Amino acid sequence: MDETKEALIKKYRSNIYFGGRYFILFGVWSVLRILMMFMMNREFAEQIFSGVDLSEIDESLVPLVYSLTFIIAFVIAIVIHLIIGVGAIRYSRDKGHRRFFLFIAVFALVVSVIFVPMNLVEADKIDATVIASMMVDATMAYLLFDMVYSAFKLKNLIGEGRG
Amino acid sequence: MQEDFHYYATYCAAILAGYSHEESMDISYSSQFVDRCSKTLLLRINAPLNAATTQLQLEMMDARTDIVGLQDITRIWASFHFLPKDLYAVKQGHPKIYMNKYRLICGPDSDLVKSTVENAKGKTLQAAGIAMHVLADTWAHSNFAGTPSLVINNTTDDFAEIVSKDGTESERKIKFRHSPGTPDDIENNIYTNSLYQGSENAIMNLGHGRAGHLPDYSFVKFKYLPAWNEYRYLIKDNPSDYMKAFGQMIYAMKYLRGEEAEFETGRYADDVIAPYKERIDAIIRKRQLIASDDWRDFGGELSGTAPEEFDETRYQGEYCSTSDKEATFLGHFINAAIMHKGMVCDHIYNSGNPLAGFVWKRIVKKI
Repeated sequence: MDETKEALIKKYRSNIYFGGRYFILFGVWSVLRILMMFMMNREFAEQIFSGVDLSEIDESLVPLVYSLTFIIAFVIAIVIHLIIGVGAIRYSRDKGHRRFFLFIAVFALVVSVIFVPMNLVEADKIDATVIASMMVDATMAYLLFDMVYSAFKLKNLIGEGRG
Repeated sequence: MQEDFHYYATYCAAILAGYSHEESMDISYSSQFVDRCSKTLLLRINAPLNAATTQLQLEMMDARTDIVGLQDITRIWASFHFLPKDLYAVKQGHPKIYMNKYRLICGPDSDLVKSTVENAKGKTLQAAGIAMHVLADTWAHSNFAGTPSLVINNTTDDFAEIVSKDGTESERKIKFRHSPGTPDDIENNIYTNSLYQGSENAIMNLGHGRAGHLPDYSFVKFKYLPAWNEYRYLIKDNPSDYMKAFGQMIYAMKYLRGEEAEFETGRYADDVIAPYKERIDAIIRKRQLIASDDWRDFGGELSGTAPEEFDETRYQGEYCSTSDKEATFLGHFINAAIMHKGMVCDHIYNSGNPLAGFVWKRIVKKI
């Protein structure tokens, strides 16, 4: 294998590795975002439970229901980030050939891309927090795109190497 | 490089170039003093601070890394320890802010090292010593830049020593730890390097910190991945480079003495080294943390007088007690250092690179 191809393989493996690592860290952001949406945005919380008749539930259990909903949302967010992140790290180190994480990454990419302008649509006024949120979503979208693109290029290079 | 090469090996090279024992001592002392002449020392002897040729670790910890601080750091390190190889290097697809740092990457046989040696011609022995320090470091410190830069000076932890046995080469993994107080374990390939810092201008990203002392050990040939080399391995062959550095020093000093008409890069006084090549090669390739004893013994055999041990304070009393400071040993050193720094920084500035600031030319011309 020539030096250029070896260098490109190292580069794409590195991109996938760091993409995976930072996507796991971005899981913290996703969790914080869900928390902020539930805690600070009362209308959002009411929307979530709009289809549920809470009057039938014992009043003392309502906080428990809210808490369980948050926890389930957190866990789903973290699990998605871990599947993509750990899958990417293993793939970059040649310890796993399964590219299942890529399908979830593509889905997450599409969602991230949609979320970027949604920040503007949903906001009452465009302030620093909205801009910051947009930038984080844009960064996450770029990270996922780079991971998917690098995985695609890596597959082609390794496939070429094997003839 | 360390004291073994900057002091004792430079002494040996000066003797082989034809200098007397006393002249060789002055040259080698000046060469090693480049690694000691910090602002702290200059303050102690009331000398001009712009003559600083190095920075102590404590000074670097306190150094600012805004544009003024970066210029201060770059002026010292790029001038004396990481002389740039090509101030007009081209690399497609990179912005000017990257290229300013890329163009400060050190390397041997450059136009700047030619200017360095030529500028020392007809000047003091101290100027010759400074030139030899700078010349030697272009070999040891090649592929690193004398400015804090993550994107240039960072490396991965993928280092391997290339070991030759019975004509075949194999690789031994090098492990790094951050333990500045512990000596490097050369038998088990465990070395100390600087901590990773993700900030582009962090002081830990100055020079070859990320590779630890590997560039300063003459015995080691190793491969690694520098940040600037686009994921390509670089092989650093210290035994070969140190031999060339030694040969080039002899050739340069013969030029300074007038035995050579001009100084050309790419020439290494092979004819002078030839009778001693095996001995020099053995010293360079001997697996040890510092080769001072071997070089000192060699120097003693060449001149008949063993070179004295380096004493940083030797000339400070003379400098402090006289009113005519420029006539003292350190006075000559200080003038030569300011002149050399001005020359290098002027070249860097004229290449369109602001990282070393600019030079007050009237002051330079007066010296």
